[in-house]
Order: sequence, then structure tokens, then C-alpha cells
Amino acid sequence: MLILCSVLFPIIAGVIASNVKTNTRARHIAYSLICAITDVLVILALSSKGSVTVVKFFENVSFSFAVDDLGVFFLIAVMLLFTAVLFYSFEYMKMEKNEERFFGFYFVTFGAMIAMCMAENPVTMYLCFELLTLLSVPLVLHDETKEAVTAGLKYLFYSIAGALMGLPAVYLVYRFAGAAADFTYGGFIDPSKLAGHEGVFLAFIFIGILGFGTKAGLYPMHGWLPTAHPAAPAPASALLSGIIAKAGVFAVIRLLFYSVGTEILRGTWVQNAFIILAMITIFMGSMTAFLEKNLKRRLAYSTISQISYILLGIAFLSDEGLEGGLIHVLSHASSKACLFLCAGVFIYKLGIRNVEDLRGIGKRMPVTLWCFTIASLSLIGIPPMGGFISKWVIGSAALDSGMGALSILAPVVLIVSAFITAGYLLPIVIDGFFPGKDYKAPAISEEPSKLMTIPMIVLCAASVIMGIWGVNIVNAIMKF
Amino acid sequence: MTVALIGGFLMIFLHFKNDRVRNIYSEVIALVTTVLVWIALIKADGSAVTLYRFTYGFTISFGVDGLSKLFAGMVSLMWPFALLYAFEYMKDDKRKNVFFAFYLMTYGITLGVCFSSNITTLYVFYEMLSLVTIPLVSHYGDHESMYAGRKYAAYTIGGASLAFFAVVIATVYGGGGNFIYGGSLGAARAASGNTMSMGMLQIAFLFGFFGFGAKAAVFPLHDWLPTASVAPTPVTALLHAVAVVNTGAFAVMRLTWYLYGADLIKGSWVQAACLIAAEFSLVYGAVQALRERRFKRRLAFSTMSNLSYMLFGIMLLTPMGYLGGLSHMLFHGVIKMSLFLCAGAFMRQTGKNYVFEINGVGRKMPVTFICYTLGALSLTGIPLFCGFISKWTLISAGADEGSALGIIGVVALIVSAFLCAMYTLTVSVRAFFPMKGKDFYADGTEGSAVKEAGWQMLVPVVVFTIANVLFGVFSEPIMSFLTKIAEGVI
Repeated sequence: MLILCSVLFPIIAGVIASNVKTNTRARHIAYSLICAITDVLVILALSSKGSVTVVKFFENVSFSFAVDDLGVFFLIAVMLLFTAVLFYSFEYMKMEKNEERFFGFYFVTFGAMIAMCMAENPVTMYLCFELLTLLSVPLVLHDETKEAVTAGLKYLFYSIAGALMGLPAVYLVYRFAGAAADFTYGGFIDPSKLAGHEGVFLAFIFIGILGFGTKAGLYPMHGWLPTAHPAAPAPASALLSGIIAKAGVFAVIRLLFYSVGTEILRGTWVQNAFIILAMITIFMGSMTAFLEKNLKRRLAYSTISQISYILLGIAFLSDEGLEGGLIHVLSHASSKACLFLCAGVFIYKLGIRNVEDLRGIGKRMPVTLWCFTIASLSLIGIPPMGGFISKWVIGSAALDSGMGALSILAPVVLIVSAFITAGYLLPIVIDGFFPGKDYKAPAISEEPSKLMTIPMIVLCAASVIMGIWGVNIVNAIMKF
Repeated sequence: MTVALIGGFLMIFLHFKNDRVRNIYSEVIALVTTVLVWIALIKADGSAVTLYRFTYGFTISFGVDGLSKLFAGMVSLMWPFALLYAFEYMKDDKRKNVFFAFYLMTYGITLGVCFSSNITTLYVFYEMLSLVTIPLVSHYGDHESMYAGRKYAAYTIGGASLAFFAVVIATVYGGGGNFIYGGSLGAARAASGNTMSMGMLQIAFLFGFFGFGAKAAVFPLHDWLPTASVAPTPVTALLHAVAVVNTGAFAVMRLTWYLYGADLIKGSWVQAACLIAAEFSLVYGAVQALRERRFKRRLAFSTMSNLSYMLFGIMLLTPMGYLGGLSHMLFHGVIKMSLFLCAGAFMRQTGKNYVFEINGVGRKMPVTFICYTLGALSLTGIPLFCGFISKWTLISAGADEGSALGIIGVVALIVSAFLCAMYTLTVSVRAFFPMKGKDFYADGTEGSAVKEAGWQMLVPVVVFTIANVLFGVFSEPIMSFLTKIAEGVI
């Protein structure tokens, strides 16, 4: 029951709040309340045991929800991000029109993500995945400029293509399922049913990885990310990179670890191909980020690269790899969201979109740039930030997994990419704080309001916490 | 059961009423017929009634089996709503008497097709259906409409003549060509000592498939469908998305499952040829829809693509495939109906035809376009809507069938679903999120006077959308009914 409430409440309340005509302040208070109540509902639902079946489609295909360990982990990430970004948006959306529509879809997307984390079986997850896509498109094309609408449509079509690529995989896991098709760690495939069909099965699972990976920006389906992020309002970009892209990761984890089961895939061509694709994406994402001048697009390419760290960890199909991936989920979510929020501050306060114009920004808004710095350090992987520990665990998982050349190559790619990441993030920080002798700083502080800075600080703090206690947190939640 | 048919034929005498009474009269006739049909469906006991005997064993006879129940039930529920919509839509038209006369006659004849219990009857009513719908296509009387009517006539009557070959073979050599699940031809052939060559039977099937398939817009006999979209929307919606084209699919179902029987053609070159045609049409229709800029033509190509989903399912020759075809026949009918009605509402309220003229109209006609969006989501196959159910069944059937053509079919379905998302959802995005400076319906522009459609047009739209969602969520009872048909139990 609680499960359904936590899904439906934000959706319904958000839609109502956005359509009632009141002044902005009252509406913002209403949104904050809705967010708070949703968080409480989700936290209460986290401990619920049973499952809820809403409707049955066919014999063993039903639309039902339950909370398990992976769901708990992702729900924490979801709550953190949606709540922090909400307060930031109150301030940011002053520069945009139509904010009621934005917040309406904000909460609907929040509800959809909660629903997806609580999906009990692949079809429910697929449904929530599709709905999530559809409902977040209005967030991207909010500005309604040609650029925004094109970006929104590109996002829509890539996501639908990805979901459709995942559909045969979803169908096939049902076909070969053992007793019930509910997510079970280790998979629910019945090997005797699978015998003789492995070839087709593996092919479609791989296509499914590509499909669900579209949302996570896996090469070659990453094309929507660099277009969507600069066009969307900054809070929407923060959400997209921070948590909505993680929905793709979530789907891949559910497919590989909880539906098919790692044993069936270990050592197959699918695993090898997946590892190679992840490594290509990591490398390509960082290199392109390095060359990019527009700050938000640079961060978009960075997201492509960073999320493939997570996918790489998953691709080694071990508990350790999953652990590393999950640490990075939370760490990257907080750091990247923080970075996008900072980028949003630069746009909102100063109208600056390109990196070269950020010289000396540290003198004008130190707090913001400090947040940017800490988040960057986390992304690069400097201890004690979150990014360091996740890279360490992923690298270690790679070496332990015994995949031959790929095992050695993976840590190398991680290290090289760390250098390149430093290359595209640190100069911003350095030029920001040390602009050179002939720079004249303005007298008044241009620091944004608390509504914007506090979320950023919170998110930075989260990435530091992940660094120090990340392993413990993941191990506490996930029962391996 | 004959009572239902008589109800249909009564409408033939609907001529030359000339006031508002006409509307009430038509609606009453339609409703009465619907009620009669449903009584017949519930009380039917499966026995056949022979109406007339020609020579050589060609008889006109009727019966009610599971498939008839499905098609008749579907048609009879949709017609009154379409009629309601037509009242408002055709309000300013000059030749309403003729229009409604033919519209109602089509209803009766479609019922005749539903209840046919052998191939001769099916053929007779099929031809009658073609004839009676030609005036509806050409209704507006302008150059485009007349051309469309002629093209429609050529394709559909030409197609029927192809099918005539199958009719003759089946009736003369097949012991009457009766429709029995599992096929009556196989048994008849065996009984006569296998004198009829298999090759001849297969060629007859091919002719029948493409002949009846012309009405179902299978490539390469599809071109009449987009051209016919110049007809008034009540015509395109009901006939070209539901009744006429579904009759094509229905006829192919009868041909395949009830005349020939799956075992007779399974694995043969005929099956492969038909599957390839269906799979090609599937994707071709979707691609053409994407290229098309006129709203109704786009939906017409979409219909072509979706009909081939049904043909694909049928020609897989497994009960699961047949189930997919049946469910898509029902669900697509509901969906496409609502989509065309929305398109028509838009066209009538704004007078515009092209997709790029839709920018921003969502604010003026929200109900229409929300219903359109829900229909579009269903057509793409998003779960919680009925389109997902039929797509899932078709994918399962293709995957289970296991052969290369089955798997290719699955891939084709996925590709076409993606294209479907593109060609339908762009319209929704345009309607609600126009680009800055391109909103044609904002205050201060010429379009700001556009209003939402009247209740007579909205009620059918909303009803079909609700059906769309209901079937998607509570699909089990329908699917079990359809499964019984697919397995020949009823």
C-alpha cells in the first residue's frame, strides 16, 4: 500500500499543485511540502516487505511492485537528487517562463522514477522506463526554442528506440523463466528451458544492453546526451545526468544480475563486447569533453564517460564490480548534479555558457566555485572523494575477474580517463581562482542565494561521504 | 440470427428524408441493429442458415462462430458512435441524404460479411461492400475525391477478382467452401482421393491472399488507402481504419484458418511469400508514414503498416500468431478510430490539413489532442495501453515460431514501432510544445479563434480512448475470449 502511495502521491499532487492558480510563493511552499511528504512516504516504504500487484496482463506477466535491496539503494539516490534540485529550481526558474508546467512534470518524473525502482518484474520496469522517458521530455524542451524542441525530440526518439531494443530481451527472459519472473539476484532463468536457444537469447540480450544503455549514454547510442543537456534548463540537466541516466544503468543491472543471471553470461561474447563498448565510451566521452567549449556540453560528454565507468564495473559480472558501480552511481549522481547546478548558476547570474568566460569566477562567487572544485575532484578520483573509491573497486573487480587482456586494459583506461578528466575540469577551477594579475574583480558579491548554494553544498557533501564511507554504505544495503 | 441481417437491410430503404429527423432516424436504425446483433451473438448456437442456392454448389449461407462474434460485436459497437460523430462533422454538407444512406447500408453489408459461413457468401458481400463504399469515398465530388474513388474501385474490385479464383477452387473442389476451423479444404481433398493438385491449391491461396489482402492494403496493392484519405473523416475513420480494411484481414483469416487450415499451407512457399509481403508492408507503411506531411495520409499509411501486423500474425500459422492477429484487429480498430476522429476534429475546426500546421493547437483543443496522444502511445506499444498487449502477443508468436521469417518479423515489428513513435508523437509534441514564434494558435494570430470540437464529435473520441486504456489494463477477459477463437474452441 505504502508503495503505491509513494508512487502516486508525487504524480497526483504535483499535477494538482501545478494547475491551481496561486502566487509563486504559495506554490513553492506547496511543492516543498509535496517533496517532503514523498520523501517520507518513500522512506517508510523502504522497509515494506510484501509486493503489490496492480494488474495482470497475461498469465505470468503482471504489473507489480516490491522493494528489494537494489531498489533501496537507487531510491536513496533518487530522493537525494530530486529534493536537492527542487530547491535550486525555485530560484533558477525565475529566469524561465511556464514554471508550473516544469514543476508539474518534475514531480511526475519523480513519481515515475520511484515506480521504476520499485518494479518487481521486467515488464513493470519496462513500463516505468517508457513512462519515465515520455514524462521527462517536457523538461528538456521546456524553453520551446528550436534548439530545445529538437533536443527534446532527439531525446524522445533515442529513448524510445532504446526501449524498443530492450523489448525482445524482456520478452525472452519471460519465455525462459523458471518459476516466476520476479527479479531475483542471480537471475530467474531456467537453464533447461534455455537449452538450444542460447544463440538467439544472447544476441537479444546484447541488443537489450544496447537498448537500455541508450539512456545511460553507452556508445553507439549516446547521441542524444550532448544535444539535450545544453538545451534543457540547468536543473533539468542536473536531473537528466544525475539520476535519469542512472535509470538506464538500473535497467541493465536488473536485466543482467536479476533476470538473466551472471552465470549464463560470464565469459560469453556478450560480456566481452559489453566491456569493450564501455571502455570505448569512457575514452571517447572524456576526449570529446576535453575539446568542448560549451560548459554544459562538456559536462554532458563527461556524463557519457562517467556512466560508462559504472557500466564497466557491471560488465565484469561480479559482486565486486557491481559494488564499485553502485558506489559510483551515488557518487557521480551527486557530483555531476552539483556541477550542472554550478553551470546553471553561471548562466543564471552571469549569462556565461562557455568555459573561456569563466576566468576569475572564483573571485566573484567563491562558494559556487568551491562546490565545483570538490565535485570535480570527486569526478577525477582524488581521495577521499567518492570517485576515487569507486574507481578503485571497479579496477580491482576488473583485475579479479580473470578476463584476460580486458582485465588489464580496464584499469589502464580508468587511469587515462582520470587524467583526461582532470584536463577538462581542473583548468576551470584554476583559471577561476587564479585569473592572473590584470583581472579586476567586481566589488559586490555575485554569489547566488541560499536556495541555490545549499543544494550544491549538500550534493558535494554527499560525494565526500560516499568517498569515505561508500563501501560501507553499499555493503550495508546490498546483501550480496 | 437472420433478424440481425434484416435489420441491416432495412436501411437500404433509407432514402430522401429531408430534415433533422434524419439524424434521429439513422441513429435509431443503427442502434436497433446493434442491439439485434448482440442478441444474435448471445443466443447463437453455431448452426448455419442457408439462404439461397446457386448452381454447382455455390450457396449463400450464414452462421455465427467465434470469429463472427468478434468482428460483428466490434463493428456493431463502433458504428453508432461513428454515426454520432458524422452528424456533427457533416453538418454543413449538401448531400447528406445520400451520405447517410450509403453509410448505413455499409453497416448492413459489413454484418453480412461477418456472418458468412462459406466463401461464396463472403465473396458476394465483400463485393457488395466495395460497391457501396465507393460513393462514400468520392463523396465530396471534387477532382481528388473522384480520382480516389476510381482508384479504390480499381484496387478493391480488381483484388476481389483475384480472390474469385480461390473462391471457385474452394467451392467446386472443396465441397462447398465452408468455414470450419482447421480448414474444410484439407478434409474435402482427402475425401476425393487427393485429385486436386497441391500446387493448384497453393496458387489459389496466393491469389486469395493478395486478392483479399488488397482491401487490407498489403504491398503492392496498398496505394488506394492513402489516396482514399481525401474522403470525409467519418468515412476514413470507420471504413478505412476499421470496417473495410478489417474486412480484408477478416477475409484472409477465413481463407487461412477456416477454409484451408494451417496444416495445409504450413511450411510451404506460399506461407513464406505471404510472410515476406506482410513483413515488407509493415516496415514500408511505417517509413512512408514518416515521410508524409498530410495528417490523414500519414494515419492511412500507419493503417497499412498495422494491417500487415495482423497479416503477419495470421500467416505465422500458429494459434499464437492468429491470436496476435485477432487482438490487433480489435485493438488497432479502437486505436485507429480514435486517432482518425481526432485528426478529423482538428481538420474541421481549423480547416487545415498538414502536420506542420498543428503547432500549438493543443492549447485550443486539449481534449482532442490528449486523446490523440493516448492513442499514439497505444499504437507504439507502450504498456498500460492495449496496443502493447497485441504487440507483445505478436512478438511472442514470431519468436516462438522460431523460423528465420519469424525472427525477421519480430525485428520488423520493433523497427516499425519505433517509426510509429516518431510519426505519431511528433504531432503531439507540435501540438503542445510549439517552437517559439511558430505557435499558430496563440492569442493575436489568426488561429486564436479555434475552439474545441462539439460534444457529438468529442464523445466518440473520448469513448474510444477510454476503451483503449481499459483494454490495456484489463485485457485478460478479452484475451481469453480471443484465445478460444484462435484455438478453434468457439
